[in-house]
Amino acid sequence: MNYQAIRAAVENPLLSAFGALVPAVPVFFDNITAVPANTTTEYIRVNVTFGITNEPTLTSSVDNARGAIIIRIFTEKGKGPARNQVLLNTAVNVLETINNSTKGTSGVYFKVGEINGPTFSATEEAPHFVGRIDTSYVATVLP
Amino acid sequence: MARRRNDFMKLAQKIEAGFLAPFIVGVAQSAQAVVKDLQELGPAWSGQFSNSWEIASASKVSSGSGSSGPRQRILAPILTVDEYKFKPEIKYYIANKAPHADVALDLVESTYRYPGSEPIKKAERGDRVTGLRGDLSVNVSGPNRRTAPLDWYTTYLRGGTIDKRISTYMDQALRNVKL
Repeated sequence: MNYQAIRAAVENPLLSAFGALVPAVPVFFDNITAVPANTTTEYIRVNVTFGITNEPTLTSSVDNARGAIIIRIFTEKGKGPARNQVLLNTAVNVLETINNSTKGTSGVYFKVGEINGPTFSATEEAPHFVGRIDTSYVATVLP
Repeated sequence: MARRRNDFMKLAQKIEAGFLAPFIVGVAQSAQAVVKDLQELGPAWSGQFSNSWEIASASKVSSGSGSSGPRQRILAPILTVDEYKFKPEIKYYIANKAPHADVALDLVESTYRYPGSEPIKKAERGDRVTGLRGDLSVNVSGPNRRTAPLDWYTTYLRGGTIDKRISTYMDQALRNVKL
């Protein structure tokens, strides 16, 4: 099982999409400590988690994994949801594009499920307004 | 004639109840197993959150005590035959009624405060990256602690584990049907 390839299949397109915005919005993935904490700077946090690996399916391949993708958008608090929603659109577009890709003969075939959210939250103590979406995925590593 | 028809209807209802019983028990056992998983996987500092899950059917609710201490088993309310047959696809609602549930589920940010007592579950130490409970950069001398990883709940729901748990008990129920 190539977990790194599965992770890359979703992280790379997100990184490219947010990097292409003007100005570019930083994206932080798992095990990254450089998030600009306690500032009002906007940024994206992506968490890719793994649930079940190698679940038997109707296809011959058992080299698959299921898991969750959680995307959180941190924007300035007290300025309305517009900017947050614009950035959420970018994230949702990336997930939709991944879903529209066709199955090749090698690499990772990645499908996401329904997207839950967005939900929004802001607490008194935290400096950001947070938008959140999550979805399930099934990734098959092709030989 | 009417009496014979009534007797026949009663017999038919008993046969139906007998046939559906394994499924009704299977659904209840699935709900109980899901709550047990959530209790095991989720954070537990005082134990209050783990003991605040509840399982609700259309007519009854089984609630955890909400008390501190080791996790307590929660029994699902048993569905009636009519609830099993006629209610919509969703048979049970599972929710957590702890006041800080959204923080424990990593849905909102919060500020870490040491509650004055040690956690009942093994904790990891580190520095919080964002304001999310589980978002910890692990570091043995860090000031913050977590007793479950970030997004444990979403991973359980979306990563296939919950489906597997339910199908295990429903498959078992199907095997118990005697024709």
